[in-house]
Amino acid sequence: MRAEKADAFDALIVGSGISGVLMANRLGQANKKVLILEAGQNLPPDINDYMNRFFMATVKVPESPYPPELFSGGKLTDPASLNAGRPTVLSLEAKGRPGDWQDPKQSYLVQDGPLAFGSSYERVNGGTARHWLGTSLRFLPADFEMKSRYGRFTDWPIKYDDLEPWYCEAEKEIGVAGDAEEQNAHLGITFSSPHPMPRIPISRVDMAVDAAVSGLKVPGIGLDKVQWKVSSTPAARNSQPYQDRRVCAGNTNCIPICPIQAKYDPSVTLAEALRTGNVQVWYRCAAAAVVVDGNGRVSGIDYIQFDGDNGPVIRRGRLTAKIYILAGNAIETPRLLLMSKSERTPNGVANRRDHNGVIGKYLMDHPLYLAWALTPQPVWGYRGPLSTAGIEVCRDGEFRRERAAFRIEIGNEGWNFPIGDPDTTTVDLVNGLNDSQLNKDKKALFGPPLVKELNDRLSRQFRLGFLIEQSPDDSNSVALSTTAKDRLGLPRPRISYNLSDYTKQGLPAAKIAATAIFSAMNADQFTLAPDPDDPSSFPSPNDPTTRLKYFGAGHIVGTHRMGASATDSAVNDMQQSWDHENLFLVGSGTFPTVATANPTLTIAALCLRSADHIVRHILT
Amino acid sequence: MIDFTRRKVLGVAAGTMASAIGTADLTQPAAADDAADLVLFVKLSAALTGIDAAQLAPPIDPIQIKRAYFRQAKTDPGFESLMQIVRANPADPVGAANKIMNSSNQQIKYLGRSIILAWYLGAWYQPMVLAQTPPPSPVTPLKVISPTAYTQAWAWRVAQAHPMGYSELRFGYWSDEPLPIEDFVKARGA
Amino acid sequence: MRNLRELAIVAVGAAFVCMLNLHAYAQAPISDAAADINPPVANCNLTPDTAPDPHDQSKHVATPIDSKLLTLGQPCHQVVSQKGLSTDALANLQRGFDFYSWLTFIALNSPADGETIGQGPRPGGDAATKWEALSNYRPLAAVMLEKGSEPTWGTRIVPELCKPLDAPGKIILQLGEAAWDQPFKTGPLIDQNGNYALFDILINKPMFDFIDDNGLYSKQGQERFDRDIVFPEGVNPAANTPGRMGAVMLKVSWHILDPSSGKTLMRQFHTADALIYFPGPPATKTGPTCVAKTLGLIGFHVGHKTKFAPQWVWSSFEHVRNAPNEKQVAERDLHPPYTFFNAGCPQCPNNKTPPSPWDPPASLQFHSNHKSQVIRSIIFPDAVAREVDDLNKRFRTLLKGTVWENYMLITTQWPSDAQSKTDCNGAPMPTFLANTTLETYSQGQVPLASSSCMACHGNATTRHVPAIASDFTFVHEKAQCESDFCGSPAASKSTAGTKRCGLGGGMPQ
Repeated sequence: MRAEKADAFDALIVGSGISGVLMANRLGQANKKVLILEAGQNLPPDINDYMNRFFMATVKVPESPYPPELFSGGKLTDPASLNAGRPTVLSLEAKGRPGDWQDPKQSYLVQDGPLAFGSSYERVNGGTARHWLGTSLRFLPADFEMKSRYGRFTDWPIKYDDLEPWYCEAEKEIGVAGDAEEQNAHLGITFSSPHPMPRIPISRVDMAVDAAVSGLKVPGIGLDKVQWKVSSTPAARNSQPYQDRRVCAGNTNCIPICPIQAKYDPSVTLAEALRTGNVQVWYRCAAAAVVVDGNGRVSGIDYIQFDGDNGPVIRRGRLTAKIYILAGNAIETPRLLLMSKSERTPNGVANRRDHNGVIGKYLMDHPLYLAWALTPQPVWGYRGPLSTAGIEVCRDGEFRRERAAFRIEIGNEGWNFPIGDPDTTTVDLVNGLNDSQLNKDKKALFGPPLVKELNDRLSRQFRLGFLIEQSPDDSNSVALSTTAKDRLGLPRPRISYNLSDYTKQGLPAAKIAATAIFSAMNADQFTLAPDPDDPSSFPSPNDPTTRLKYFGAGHIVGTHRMGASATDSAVNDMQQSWDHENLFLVGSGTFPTVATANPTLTIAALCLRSADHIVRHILT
Repeated sequence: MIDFTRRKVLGVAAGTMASAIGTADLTQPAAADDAADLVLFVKLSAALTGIDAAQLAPPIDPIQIKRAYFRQAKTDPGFESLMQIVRANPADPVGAANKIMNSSNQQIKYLGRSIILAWYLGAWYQPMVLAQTPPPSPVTPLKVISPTAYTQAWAWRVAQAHPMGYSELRFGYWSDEPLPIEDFVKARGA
Repeated sequence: MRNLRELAIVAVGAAFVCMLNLHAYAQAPISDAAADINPPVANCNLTPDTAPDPHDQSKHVATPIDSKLLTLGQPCHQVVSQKGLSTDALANLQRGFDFYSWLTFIALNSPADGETIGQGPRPGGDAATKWEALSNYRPLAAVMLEKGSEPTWGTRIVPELCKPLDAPGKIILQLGEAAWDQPFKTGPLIDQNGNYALFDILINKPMFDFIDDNGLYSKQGQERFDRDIVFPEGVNPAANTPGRMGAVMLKVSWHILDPSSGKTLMRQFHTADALIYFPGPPATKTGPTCVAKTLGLIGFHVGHKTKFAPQWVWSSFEHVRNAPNEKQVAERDLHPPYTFFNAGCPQCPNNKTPPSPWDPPASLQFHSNHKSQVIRSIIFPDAVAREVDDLNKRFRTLLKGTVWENYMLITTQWPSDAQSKTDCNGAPMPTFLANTTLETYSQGQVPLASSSCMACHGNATTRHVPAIASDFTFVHEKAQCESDFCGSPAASKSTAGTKRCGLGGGMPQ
């Protein structure tokens, strides 16, 4: 394997998602030479193709705008036929049904269970945050200290105050609109500088919830002292012209794609990184192995360059650089590390030579509990960003000793998430069905009565999403499949996944809170129980006759976690591997706990901090 | 629980396949015999959908989505029979709509429903699929007719909103009430 | 005879008003102050594209496209009618707008000294145009000044470094990112000689005065301004009211004429001797420095706010040699040389952004041998394209023998439903419009993603909390900060007057 010219690059980065591009941009601005390897499609000049694919999709899942194609010949594309495949929420169906979660011909991830891992990701320029919602919440101080405060899990090796200045940097870098005073008042977190943009205005739905929860008491779930309140959600969404991007026009499409790029996505930073003249990207290049030399340093990354989604291999090579940064998300990064077995690295790279490495372990998500209802008066959903506010006051407290905490996301998109509306209710009312539960008499309408009934239903729909903190369990893990491969012949990720009792207890608590909120609003709840064979469901710990369903939140976390020492972590707080000095594993894989905030802002803060460290102390 | 977001598409061929951009020129005038039918089709569509013709197909109309739906409906075997009813009642599209939607002829009745869903959702739900008993759950469309059809879909406007991914309003609008439903579905000045 | 004709046209215009059943667009009545911003003008061009046939009033005949049109001036609003050469009302309106666009182009590009277009002293009858005169239009960089200082109309600002190169008749082109990077940072455009294309934005006096009078030339000024942004409207004279021009904004694109290109090439372009100023960081990576270049006009956007188009009328012109369209490429109907297309490689990848880095050096030569290979996408209906082609043939014939015969209209985008309550953009017709020199990389027919003047400009706002729609212009974004610290704008204490379209009753939050 002929290595490319040594020292041609200061940094070799695997992955052009948010972690990779933030690192690349900072290094590029500091005149370091950077090469990014991206397995997915190159950065297009415009989003015409993505928007077209989105508009034409009959079901608009988060992956729907982005290549590779989800369908081939009327069925889900066989992941073995793709050079760089990725999971989709379409392959989370029960065994034996189309989209069978354990059929490797349909599911990119080989899922061992017992429960389904519900989150998907992209392998494309800009990565998964192409289709993120934009929510940019900071972690709470307590989130970094679960062990010290609540006797649970582990503390982070850093505290909120260590990360605070980097949260400010991140908020400037990606352009967060928010209200620091409001955040402070309700969550007690401090901001050393305000958000670069004022908060996004809240919606009618938010106002209806806020009016109802004022004075609300929800007993029995450890939140007795809580003053229920709705707060606007800080988001990387323009409330002012910023970075030459337009302000939000309420396209209500953040997931999967903002048509006017008012929502930040990593292609913005990718473009900026390229502008420095110091950053290159090689697309359609999958990293196949990390190579370690006799001194325990990474000496190269083997890559495979290929033609298109399912074309032939063009070449294989090895690239070298002074430092190596793996930014491939918390499933693909451990996958790469585990694929890199050798005599020197019998358990894979960065995974210790004994059997106590943590690579791939402690996989976490936010299991999302969804509840939906019909309000007595119109709240007019389907307007504004997908979410503009939430309830944050329930994120912390002594109850975290016993059960998982959650935050509550208020949805502005009616019942689109729960039942695929307005399509489902519209078809119900025209064709005399009742899939939505809103057409009990199965009336088939047309003309003005159709307008009246449909308007009545749609204008009163709304939903709440509870993001539940999953416990870090070493049995939840990413490993390598021995049978399923991608078209390059590389083993696909194999997932073992379950919810601990601690985590499971978060859902009945969420259900109680949802019911209380709906009741305070005089809203009729329509949350459905899952089918018994739904792989993302389980019997309620408190009542085995009831089943509870969770969704994946798209938050993949924990599999190369940071810690205070090498004993039980893979990286230090600068995301630097304990085992290999010139290797960094960045992204949410480094989180020791997932807390209740959406991870992206914390990913960004950690990456900017690491990049600063690298520029000052490593690549001097 | 029916997992809508996922099962919805799995029975469908070519569900999310990218379609070529640059579809047929919708504003080309129709062939002579089609032109008259197109006028009737719009009147019928107004009666079927409950939305004024002047909203479905304004007199000055840059988009002409009516042509896409007309062409799509024309591919259905029941189309000629359906149009005969309309042609027989040119001044009474509401009456024609009633006849169609209560027809004992399944082809005609369900084609009427497909036409409504085309206007409401910008997608083509095949009449024979709508007619299935027991019905598939949930019902899936054959395809989205075009990106423009999706952005012109009426279900969202009947919700006093807009299709997700296509807002014609300005920053902050979501803090205010929308316009009343009449402003969406009735001709201006009506 | 001219008076009679004027009367007839005014009558047609008035009839048109009745036909559209317009009610007063919600706007403050013209006060004295507003009248100063939008003063009466003497010579609005009232020529419609057709007129009723004197022998058969039910028919319309095309207005002859002859030399009379070259001196009638600029329309103050579009005179269009649903009646025309076709039975299709939409087609007739479109032709009316496209005709108006040509009259506008001719008027704006007429010599600043009052001579007739094409009869100037330079090769090809070229001359410095009306829009290049600081008495008529002002470049945006000279409006949005450092420290948010108040601009002064008509003054010629020559940066220190440009002074040694200065001479009478030179235009100053001050670069910021928008001068070489296409909207939303989609990338630079590199011609077949490897030079950067350059862009400039200019505004007329009524538009300038609105900005100036309301303090919108600084960030803080925008934060303080609590009313709706409503630029003055153009309107032709009516029985008792004078004509007013209203706000007009231009976006122009230039390519660098190599001196070695020779006189033949100079004859084909309107040219300007320019001093191109690089202010240095943060505005430009290179600089501060000043370079002298001869520029050739390759693209010309006009936005005109008129009484019957509150969403403005958007006209776009290109030089005929810019690039072929996709049909011509498919049919091998090529007429090289093109400025942005290599006819020797028709299958080469097209409309691809150049490789990074993008920031131009002082030489304005691109760092690699990349040259933009541009194809014009066909994005509006064939019927419109045919009508525009016909008008182009006639107007270009009229301008034959001058540099101006080398320019063509792409088409005009206009609000087909200006009074729409639910569509703040007024249902643009046609839905998509792009200029290959100014929106090279976002051509297409995908809603919202592909280039559309009105859909995009409709999202423009000022710097105010909450963000206020800025009446279809992004110029406000270029305002600078009065002080060294310019953090997040403060929330406005009052929301009075911040009308927002598409909304119902109930108080804003």
